[in-house]
Amino acid sequence: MRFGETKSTMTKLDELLDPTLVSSLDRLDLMSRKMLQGRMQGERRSRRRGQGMDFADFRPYAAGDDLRFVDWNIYGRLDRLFLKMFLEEEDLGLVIAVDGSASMDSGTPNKFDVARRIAMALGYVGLVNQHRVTLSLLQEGRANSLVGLRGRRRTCEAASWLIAQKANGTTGFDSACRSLASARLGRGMVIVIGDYLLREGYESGLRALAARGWDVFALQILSPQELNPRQDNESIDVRLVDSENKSEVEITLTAAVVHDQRRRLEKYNSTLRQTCLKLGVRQMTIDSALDYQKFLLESLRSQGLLK
Amino acid sequence: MTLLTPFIGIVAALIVVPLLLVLYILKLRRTRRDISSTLLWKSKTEDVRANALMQRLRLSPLFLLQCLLLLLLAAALMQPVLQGWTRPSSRMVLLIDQSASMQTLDAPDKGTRLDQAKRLAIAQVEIWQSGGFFASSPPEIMVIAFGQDASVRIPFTTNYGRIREAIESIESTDQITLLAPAITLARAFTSEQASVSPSENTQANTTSLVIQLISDGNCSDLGQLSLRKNETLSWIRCGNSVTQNQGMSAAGAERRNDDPTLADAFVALRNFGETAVQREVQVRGNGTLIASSAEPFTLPGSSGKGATQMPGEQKISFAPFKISTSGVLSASLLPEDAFATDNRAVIAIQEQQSLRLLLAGNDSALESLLNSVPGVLLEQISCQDFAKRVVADTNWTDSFDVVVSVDCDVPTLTGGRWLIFGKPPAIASLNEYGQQPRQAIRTWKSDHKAMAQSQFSDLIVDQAAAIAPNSDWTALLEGSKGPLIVSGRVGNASVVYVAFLPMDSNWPFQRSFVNFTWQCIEFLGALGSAVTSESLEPGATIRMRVARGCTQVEVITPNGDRVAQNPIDGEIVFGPLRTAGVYRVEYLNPNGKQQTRAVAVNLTDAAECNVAAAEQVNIPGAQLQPQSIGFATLAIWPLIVLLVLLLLLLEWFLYYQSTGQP
Repeated sequence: MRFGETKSTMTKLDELLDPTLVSSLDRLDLMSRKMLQGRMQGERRSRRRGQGMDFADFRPYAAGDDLRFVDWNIYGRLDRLFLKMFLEEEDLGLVIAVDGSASMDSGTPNKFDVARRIAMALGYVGLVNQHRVTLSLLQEGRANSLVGLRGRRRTCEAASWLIAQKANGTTGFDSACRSLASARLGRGMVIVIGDYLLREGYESGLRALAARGWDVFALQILSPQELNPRQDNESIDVRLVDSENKSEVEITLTAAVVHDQRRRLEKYNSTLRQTCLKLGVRQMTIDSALDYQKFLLESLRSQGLLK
Repeated sequence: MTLLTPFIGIVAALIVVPLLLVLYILKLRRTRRDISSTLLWKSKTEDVRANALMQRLRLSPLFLLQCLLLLLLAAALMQPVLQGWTRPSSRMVLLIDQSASMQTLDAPDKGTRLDQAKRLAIAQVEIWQSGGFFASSPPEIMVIAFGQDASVRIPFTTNYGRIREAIESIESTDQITLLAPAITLARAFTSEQASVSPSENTQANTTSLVIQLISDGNCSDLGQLSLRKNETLSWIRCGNSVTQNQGMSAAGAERRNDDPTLADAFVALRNFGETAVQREVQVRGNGTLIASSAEPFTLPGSSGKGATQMPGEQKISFAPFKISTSGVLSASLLPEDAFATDNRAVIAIQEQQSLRLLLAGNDSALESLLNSVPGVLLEQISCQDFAKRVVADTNWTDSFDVVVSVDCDVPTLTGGRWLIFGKPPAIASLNEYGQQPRQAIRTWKSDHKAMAQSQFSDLIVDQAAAIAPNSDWTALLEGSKGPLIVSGRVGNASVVYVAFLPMDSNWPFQRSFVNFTWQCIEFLGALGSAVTSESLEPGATIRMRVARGCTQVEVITPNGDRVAQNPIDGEIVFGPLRTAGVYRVEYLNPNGKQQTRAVAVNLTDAAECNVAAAEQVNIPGAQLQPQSIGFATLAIWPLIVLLVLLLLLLEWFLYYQSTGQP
């Protein structure tokens, strides 16, 4: 029997973002399922016609057009002026929200640590690709955010902010998501990282984010202790204490009880998946014990979050 | 607030609260595990692993709540009652016992029980007047004093001064205790006042009656009582349940037939206590000691308990003593105990009187019988002359003590006392319808004074008048074909009618003929008072015949009070008698001579003389336990149980809040 009592101990930037991973992340970029309108020119195609690298279309020349975009080859053949249209490359609004409730500060490996590592890695990918990165901690019904990060040089600032965050209290997921959705962060991608073990539910919060037109990605992190609470056959009488509301459940952990709990967890996660599907939210559940580098480089790419 | 059963509650609390503590201390020590969320965990305990016996007690709200619940339940077991609860504007009836047993000197201050009852009643009224818990106005109070009969001392009122005066004016009597008349009286007043308005008749039926009985509980009619649905009876006990009493159950004196100047006296004694006691008896005649027990004798203790208790008994006869004139004998049991009323008995011995008899008609057997009785002045007359005199002078028959008519036509029954044989008198209520042939005897009323100590089973009547008397008549002798001897009262005449002639039967040859004739004459003429007066019980009525023309008739009570009487048809009626002792009737006879006759009144009722205060009053359907003065009590335990249920809900809520379960 193992229960997560391991508290977060991460204090160094190196622990947050492994230097050996950085070079791999440099080659990645975020991929949104939606064509979103950015605020500034970036390195991401947008629907807006403009000064991008990818050709989009031709249109007849009109007075005042930039002559640099006239296709002189066509003029030579047809003796008419046409303008080449390109998909303009814009920046992407990337919001990475981490559940900062006490329930995240548990498990071995610590769920909050893993969540911050993934947030940092994704944030780094956003920064090096000139996206507007916002880091947010969902805690006690509020979204404490570090906004307006752009460019590789802001990496250290982002990492310091994440290191400084502590998981305690409740999430207040609904209120926090609404608070995040109401912030003027533009449109973009929102990645919400948490355990999603929420008494108050998660649907309303996710719906608020999705309703803003964001491309929402829900990443659920569960510890091995939550996924498999009992690893031996010995019965044990325990008093389980909820890390958030301190409620107690007295229980005798027998194989049947564990089996029952697993079944409930599966059902809960299934409901989470169905809810996300209904809201148009991508969702993924991971074990905090997995190799997060492999997760970033392989799983997220296969999921289409990174390219 | 009073706890009816504090011991049970304390014992329960001493058991269950420590038990709860132990359960909490011995509670399975489960390993605390902090987990991220208990959202998906359901409580399921099997206590598979034994743990350490003792653990530190955690003062959780649940534990404190459960302790409170157990203490409340223990408190409910103590049956707390709230005194001072009374319904506003309710009406109270105070029933104060003034019977003989209430004179027992065993009150806490060595006074009588009646004094104690009056103090308690006044205290009770003061509490009621002060207004009780939840009371908006003092209740109306009615005071009824009762012994053998009941009287309203003050009807419903809130005037404290008048109520107090009414209570203090209650005096003791020597009567027995009957509760039913008092309750009937209370009901009558309650319904009467409730139905003053015709529109409130329906309300009268539902008027509640709250009765507070202040008594020693020795009521002889409890088995006949029944409380109605809207009646509440509570009882405040006076006296002590261990008080023992010895007294006289009977006393008598008779002149000797061979020498009327000598009289024999006897007393019967009884002991209601369980232990035998040494007692002495003295007999005084007109204040002078004339006889006494030779030495203190042993009065045995009673046997059995409760309803089966049989008091120990002893009878004592005294040597004949000389008493030539009328007088009063007084027997005393010494030394006196707490209840003095039955320690004395009085016997009134009258001066010898001649009995005037008129025999109408010819019957040799009757004539010889009546002539043989000493002290009888017998006059004889033929039937024809008798009929003429009766018609001529209607008061003539009343001048005789008894008129004996043998087969005469009696045209009208004038005043007087009649013993009629043969032809029936002209009385419609007898309903004569012919003659009955030969018949035997079926039954007779042996408890009638005229029929006592006689056997009629061998009597054969050859011929008798056929009568069918109405209910005004009492059949004393029933033949096989109808009544043969009847008794009744027609106008001013008291009549015993024998429907056959003695010579038409074998009766003259039987002893019952002599017994009946003499006893009937005694019954009709009250001849017994010439020998020895009959003792009456308190509560009875003195009915005494005096000669017509008597004046200045007065009854002198044992207290010395003189009460003037006006004889009606030569008879005075005085009563009901409230105290035991000698009542004297004084009058001037038509000759202007002062006459005095004494009537002895003694308390011999066994139930009344057993003065040990009752442990409880048992009436059909209810057992009243003695209560202390105060307001009616309100049982609080149901409220506590309700509170416990509410706290259980709170405990349930807290429990599921703490476990996070729905």
